[in-house]
Amino acid sequence: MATPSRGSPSVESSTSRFTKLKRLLRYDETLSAYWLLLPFIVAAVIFKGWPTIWAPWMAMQEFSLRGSEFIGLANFQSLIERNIFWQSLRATALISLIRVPIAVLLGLAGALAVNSVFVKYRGIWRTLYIAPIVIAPVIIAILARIFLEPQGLIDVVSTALIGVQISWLNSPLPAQITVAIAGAYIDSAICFIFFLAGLVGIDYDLYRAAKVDGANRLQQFRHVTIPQLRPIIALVLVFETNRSLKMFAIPQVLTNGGQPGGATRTLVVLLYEQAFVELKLGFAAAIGVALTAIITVLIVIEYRYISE
Amino acid sequence: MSIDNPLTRDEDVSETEAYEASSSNIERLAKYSTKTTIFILAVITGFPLYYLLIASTYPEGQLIAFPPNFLPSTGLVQNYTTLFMETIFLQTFLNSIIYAGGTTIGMLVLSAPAGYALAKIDFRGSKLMLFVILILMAIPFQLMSIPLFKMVVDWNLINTHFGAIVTSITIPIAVFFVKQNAEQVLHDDLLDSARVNGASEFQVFKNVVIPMLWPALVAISMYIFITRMQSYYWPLIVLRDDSVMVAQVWISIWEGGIETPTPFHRILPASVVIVMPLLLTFLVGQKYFVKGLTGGSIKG
Repeated sequence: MATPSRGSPSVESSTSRFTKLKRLLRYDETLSAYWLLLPFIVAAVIFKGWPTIWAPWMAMQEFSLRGSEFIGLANFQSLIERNIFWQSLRATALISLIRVPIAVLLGLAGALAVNSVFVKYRGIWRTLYIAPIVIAPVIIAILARIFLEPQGLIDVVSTALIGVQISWLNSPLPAQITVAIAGAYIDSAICFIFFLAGLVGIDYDLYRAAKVDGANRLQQFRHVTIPQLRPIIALVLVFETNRSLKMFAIPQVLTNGGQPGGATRTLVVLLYEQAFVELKLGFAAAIGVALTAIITVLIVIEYRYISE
Repeated sequence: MSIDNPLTRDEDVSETEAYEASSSNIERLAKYSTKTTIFILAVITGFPLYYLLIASTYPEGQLIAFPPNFLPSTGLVQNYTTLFMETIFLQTFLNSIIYAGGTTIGMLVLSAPAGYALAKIDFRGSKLMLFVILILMAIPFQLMSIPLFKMVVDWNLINTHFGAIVTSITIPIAVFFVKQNAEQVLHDDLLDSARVNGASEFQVFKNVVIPMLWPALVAISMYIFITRMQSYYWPLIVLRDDSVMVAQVWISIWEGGIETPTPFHRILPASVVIVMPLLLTFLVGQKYFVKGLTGGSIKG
């Protein structure tokens, strides 16, 4: 027979044992968290963290067959002085200025159309619009080349329309436009996915309320869709600018790494050439640092500007 | 009558009529412009894919002709058999699958436990870890690629599948994706009840977390596999030898010159063979793929 006076301490001891157990479990949990994270941390330190820290250091060195030599900021100095970097920066900027708006607007138009009430069989349209994603940039570049070669499809059409044959891949501006559009083709699908996800997420009650207030479709679009989509637009712009500045496969394949005369040599193509063709690792690392700085600054500005 | 409710307020009759007229005009305009847009966009996105299929059937030198062709030609059988029998394409295609598959598996092994731990275990430094992962997501790979190349060379891993895969498996966005999903799917009660019943942390992870996270893991695997089948920059740098070269690189290194025109009758069938499995994967798992791309950041 247990008496009440003996009961309470045993309850107390069992609760304290329970908290102890819990603490032990929590300790176990914390320890296990580190164990679960360990593989990723180790890999991230070796293959991401270390190279990221090492790259600026490499940019301050000159590499040759005998080894490396510390040369301070000389690589950055030659970056500023050499025309090749500025030309590449201009090319990247110009191509991005064409590519980003086209990709974003195509994606937005597609998403609005597919999400519209007038459209049937949305699944099919959606699949069709996302499909370009499975065509790799290299293959897009090859297709573009077929269309643009003399007697190619676009060449024939443009010659018939204008009356003058444009040598698409051999003159600077047409080549830049081509590279931009080929990139925009794939990226429009990516923008489309983001926009469609954003549009589907808009609360339908907002449209109903707008309708009750007498807003027509245009006004609904202006006062409901656009404000609601604003964060997604910011996200897509940031994402797309980032992709566009790092463009590599299309100029590398379509215009043989920057032809004609470097007009389509983007920053990453230049980095690739310097690092892996000419093996000037230090100079290439300096380009990499510059690229990172440019991307960071642009994205911060863009994000600030749009989200406010 | 005297209540000033905008919904019941009598409007000027002419005003209402004018509104309805303009509204129905806008309605009609919206309807037709939407239908036109959707059709034009479908042609723009669908045509290259169609043309790729058609163009791959043209015999050597007959693709670029005037007037342009839009129908299949006679080279179908010959183009594809030559591609598989007389070139190293099949080998490079297998190399692509090894690279993309290996990267996907490695990514899963690293990201699944890490994502779960970040989402569900409250430990010292978890916020910092997450911040570091976000920073890593923002740094361009091209910057890291130069030191990474030197590491791969120094460790004698150049031109090996292992070297290419091991340098590609750390994918911060995958960890982030798993973390986002784990937060939504896993409930603390469930994990705690498993723990109270005596399961070790490892058993909890294996028997509770993995089965519940399965859909998310399939989504991210599919996304990573498709994108890595297309990756070009890193394989071009570290897999240069014919025996390990990936298909993307192989189709891109044909030199088109004045005397030797680009051999489109080899490149295009190869492109079709690369695209088709990805297209099928994409069609089967479209929803997963979309989820993987938006990184769980957007609902819907």
